[in-house]
Amino acid sequence: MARYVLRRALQSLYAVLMLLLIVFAMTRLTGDPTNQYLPLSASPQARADFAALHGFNDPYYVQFIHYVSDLAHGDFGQSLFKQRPAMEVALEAFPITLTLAFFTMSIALVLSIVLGSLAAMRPNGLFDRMISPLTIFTASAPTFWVALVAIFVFAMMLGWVPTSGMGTPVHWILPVCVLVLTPLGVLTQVVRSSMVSSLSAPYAKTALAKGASDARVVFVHALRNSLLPLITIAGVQATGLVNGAVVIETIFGFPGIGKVMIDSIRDRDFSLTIACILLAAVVVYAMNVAIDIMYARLDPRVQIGGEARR
Amino acid sequence: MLSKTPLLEIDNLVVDFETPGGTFNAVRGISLCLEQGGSHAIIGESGSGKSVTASAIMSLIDSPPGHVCGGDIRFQGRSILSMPRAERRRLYGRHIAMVFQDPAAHLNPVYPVGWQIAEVCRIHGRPAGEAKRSAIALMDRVGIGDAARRYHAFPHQFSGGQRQRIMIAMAMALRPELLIADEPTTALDVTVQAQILELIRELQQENGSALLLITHDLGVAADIARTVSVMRRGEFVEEGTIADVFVAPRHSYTQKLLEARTSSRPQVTTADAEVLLEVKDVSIDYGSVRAVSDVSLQLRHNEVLCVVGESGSGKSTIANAILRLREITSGSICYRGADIHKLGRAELDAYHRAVQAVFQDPFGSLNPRMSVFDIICEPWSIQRSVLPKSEWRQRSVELMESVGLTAGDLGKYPSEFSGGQRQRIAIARALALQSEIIVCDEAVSALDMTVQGQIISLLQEIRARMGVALLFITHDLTLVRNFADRVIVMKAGEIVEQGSTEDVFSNPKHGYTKMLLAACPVPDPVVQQERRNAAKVASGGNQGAHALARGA
Repeated sequence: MARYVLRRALQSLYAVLMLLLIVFAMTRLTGDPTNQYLPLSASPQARADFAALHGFNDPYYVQFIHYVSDLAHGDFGQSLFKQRPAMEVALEAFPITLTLAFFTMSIALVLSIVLGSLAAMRPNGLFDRMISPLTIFTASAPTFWVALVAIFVFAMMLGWVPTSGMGTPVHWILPVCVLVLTPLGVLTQVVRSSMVSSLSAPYAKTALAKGASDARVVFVHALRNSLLPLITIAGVQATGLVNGAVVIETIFGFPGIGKVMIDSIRDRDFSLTIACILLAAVVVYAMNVAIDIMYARLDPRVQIGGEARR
Repeated sequence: MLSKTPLLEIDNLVVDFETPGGTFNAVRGISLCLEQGGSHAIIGESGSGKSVTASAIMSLIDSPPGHVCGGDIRFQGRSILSMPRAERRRLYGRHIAMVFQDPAAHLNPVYPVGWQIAEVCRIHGRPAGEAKRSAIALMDRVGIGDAARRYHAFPHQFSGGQRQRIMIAMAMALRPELLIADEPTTALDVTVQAQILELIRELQQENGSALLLITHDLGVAADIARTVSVMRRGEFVEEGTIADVFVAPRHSYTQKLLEARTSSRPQVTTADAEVLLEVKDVSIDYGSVRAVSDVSLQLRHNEVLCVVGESGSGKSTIANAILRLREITSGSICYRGADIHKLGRAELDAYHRAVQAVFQDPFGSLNPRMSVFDIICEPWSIQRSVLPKSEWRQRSVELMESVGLTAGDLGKYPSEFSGGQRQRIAIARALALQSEIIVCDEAVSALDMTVQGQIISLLQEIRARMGVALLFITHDLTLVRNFADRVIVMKAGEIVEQGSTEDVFSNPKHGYTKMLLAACPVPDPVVQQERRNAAKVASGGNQGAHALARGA
């Protein structure tokens, strides 16, 4: 297991380096920050000094080599805009996004398991017919639109919750509720369909033949088998939450990684953009490894790192 | 004689299934009475309603679409059908238990087997520690070695025979009064089948349970049951003791079932015919495992050569190598003297025309999105030179008629046919290129007995009419007897015996062939009893049987 994690970490390292190369090139394509940071009236000399100070005059490959060699020493560069180490700024914002994603995913998982299981117990029954169209709606409604409507209705018309910002627990309600909709819809559909097939699987009949109660068949025998597809899709959704934070954090003025990233791009704050993206990438890779390990824990037939449980 | 309540009474049971095409009467008013400790078999082909009957007793009918709409099932005098659900649950697992056909699917893949056995005890109120101890004892009893350690193993880590032992341990855990076994050995090899039947019989005697056996295999019924009902289209057409029914069947359907296996074989002499295919010292490795080692065989013109062996014997691997679906590690395969691995493009096309295949699974081997016409014409669209497109229609009609289907079936899709009909389509496709050799890899294993008989007759007829040679791969010795010219017996990747069919059957030389022949139950209770005793003596009594069992 430790070997597997190590091997995946090395693979990820390679992928992160490739990502770094691409992101680095793309930030440079947005233009020279000098024009943005110095006033229009700045003298050519001042411009040249600024560019020289930050290395913007060097060829891109020299800039890249400098960046990577700094990186090797644990230096992610300075945020131009905030005048602080870029990683420090990113690390400050990231826990907020992670907390948001964590609450969202926890609520989505618990609710989808309950709703999906109930819908699967009687396919095409009353509950199923009520739930299924709803899940399709929540899964397909665009988050930014739902967010704007939610702010309009609940914050502006009804005044139940603040429109934006972060301070009190009340500030979290609206963003979490809006974010939870997509994963909830998708995951409920996944649970429902895999639960339907698990419940009609032969082993469910064996359980009934043993005298097991319906609840035992559903929550012991079928659920464990249905969790496998759920985890796969939940992983994709969780990754999407971290990446999709850009939109929702901007709308709700939430100072998470998404907002920091957007601001840094607007400010041509190259080091900060790269730091944010690298951080998000590492978390996504870690999540993938965690999902693989969880998968192998739940399904004894799955082997990780070539070590079968025999 | 004292009149007492029978253990199980089925009284005029009717089960219907609602289908888009209307109501399907699966069970039409059957009645059955099973005494304490009795053993009764329900025999019939697939779709006869025998498994539905078993499901009805266990309340396992999928509803919708199925529902019991008449009659009653009583256990120890109490109606199961009108019992509250909670009360019924106390019955299942504790007093009535069931062993299913496919143990691989019926065990939950994500829980350890020991846990699953112990679960029965826990559900019925035993404390966890005691449940675990008795699960280990049961695993030991059914012949799973090293039970304390294997308790924690998962279903996929066991062989098919072992999984069925685990299912049996689960069913017998609380010494139920009634054990229902639905095709318990159908998915297993013949020698494993013999061990499992022996195990069921032993446990039944130890616990004094009654047995209700559902099977399509008359030999299995003769081996283990004392009374029998023959089921057809939802009705019992004949009932009685095994001895009466099997020795002197009254109903024509029973007679047909019994005859299905004993059709006569037309004599064709092929001993000095031209050698079409020669397999020489072929070995095939799967990674580090040697699946086939140094196998040599010859297939002559118009000959039926049967390769018999249990799963894992390498028989299908050989077939795949001949079809060039699998590379060989060493040795050579020659078609009319030319090594098939050294053929040029055009010669290879010719080889593929000469050798065609019919596979085991008639559901998987026909593309569900292609019409029958497209399926049969596909060989011609690949091998362009064989037949001009203008003649496709005419020729496909001829082919359909030669396999007993009609021109009208050409526009249909595979899902509209039964298993037997699909296998006919596969045969028609194999005949499309006027091949010299047809490789049949377990081509009838998935079919019912009477359908098996029909397909075998069709193959015999085609062989006589078109002069093709058949390489027939099977695990079923009884099929081979009336069909093959020569037989090859394979075990663990090697040929252990080969010779003319008469020689192999009347005078088997290798111990394994003898064991295969002995393990195969025959549909005659007296003969089967003698064979069973003989096998017991041969294997050194019970101890030997247990030792054998552990290896399964």
